[in-house]
Amino acid sequence: MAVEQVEPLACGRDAADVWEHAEAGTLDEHELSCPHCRSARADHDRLGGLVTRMAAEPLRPPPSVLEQVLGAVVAELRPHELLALGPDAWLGRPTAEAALRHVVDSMGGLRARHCRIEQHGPVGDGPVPVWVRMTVTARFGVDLASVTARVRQMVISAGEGTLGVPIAGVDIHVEDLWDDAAEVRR
Amino acid sequence: MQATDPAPQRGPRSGGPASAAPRVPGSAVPGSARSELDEQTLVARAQDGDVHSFAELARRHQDALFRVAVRVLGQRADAEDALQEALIDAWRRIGTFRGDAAFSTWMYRIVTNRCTAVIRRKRPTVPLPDDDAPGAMLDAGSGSPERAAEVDAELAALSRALADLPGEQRTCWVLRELEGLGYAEIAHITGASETAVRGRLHRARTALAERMRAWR
Repeated sequence: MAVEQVEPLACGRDAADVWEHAEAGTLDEHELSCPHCRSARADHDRLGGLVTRMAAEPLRPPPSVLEQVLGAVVAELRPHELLALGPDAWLGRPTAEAALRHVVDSMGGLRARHCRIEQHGPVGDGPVPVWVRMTVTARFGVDLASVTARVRQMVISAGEGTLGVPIAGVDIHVEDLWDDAAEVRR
Repeated sequence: MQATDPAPQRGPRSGGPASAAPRVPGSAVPGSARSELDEQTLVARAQDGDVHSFAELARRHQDALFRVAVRVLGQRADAEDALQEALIDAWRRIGTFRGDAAFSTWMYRIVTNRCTAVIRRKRPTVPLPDDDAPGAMLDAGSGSPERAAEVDAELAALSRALADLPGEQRTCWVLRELEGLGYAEIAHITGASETAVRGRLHRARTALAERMRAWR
């Protein structure tokens, strides 16, 4: 018998099955009367209450763990993740992406997921145009055609007005819909 | 649905100065209420490099991951280290998460791998400190102080028995009995077959029951 498998009890029953039946309260007639099965059931009963207590114990990590993780994460951010605003001016790309996601989030009925800003071309006197790829989810029932047009308009406006980079193009991909009622039920 | 503008003129990508360190991404941005965002959205944003979305994911999962690490490793200090390393590892690898399993499953896998590495390095010999002893924070007695003390002692004994199990049995037992995961999910997390998970779990259960007989 492979070592991974569960050895049967002397009565032939699978010991793990008996344990699971005891757990679910679905022991059959044989399992209730057979001494071998009753012994397996007693093992289950022996641990049951203690396991429940152990599972209920509140164990939480100290705040310092997450603080150190985020410190390490920020330290690892790659310095080349920058957008050129001009010959001597740069903007962190994740910051710019977060700003554009915020624009979408604030519209109502939409949430931004991925936002990718790509910038190509040599740095000249002025900012190099960027291309924005945005993945969004929408509330069920919104007019997707008009809302994506509005997203494009607002992203272009925010890019040029807030970030200071001209937007060469915006790709918008609606990849999911959500239902407020379903979220409330969750 | 795809909405696309005409393709732009594209040249070689411009590089930035390596010495210019970016601020924390998104720190200057009025944050959307990340705590209200669904997990898929947070994962997508974290994959784009949004630290704050990753932080929200870490906040949501850290308690469950820590519970597993404490029970598998038997010590808070080791568990804190394992959790910290697992979360940093998750950040580095989040781009590889494809969503074919739940994000929590993916995180459990990373943290249990870390725990396995710790177990291989050193076998835990020191039980949980007294103030962390199982049951210490519970109203264990809901009756007499004697009964509360007895339950605490039983839980401490169970913790010691758990620490004596082989690492792979311990991991299966913790994921099933304390976290309530199914065989398929545990198999995905541990990289073992469901048959192997079932076998390890059963051996762990019977070994623990055997050890706890003295308490009845």
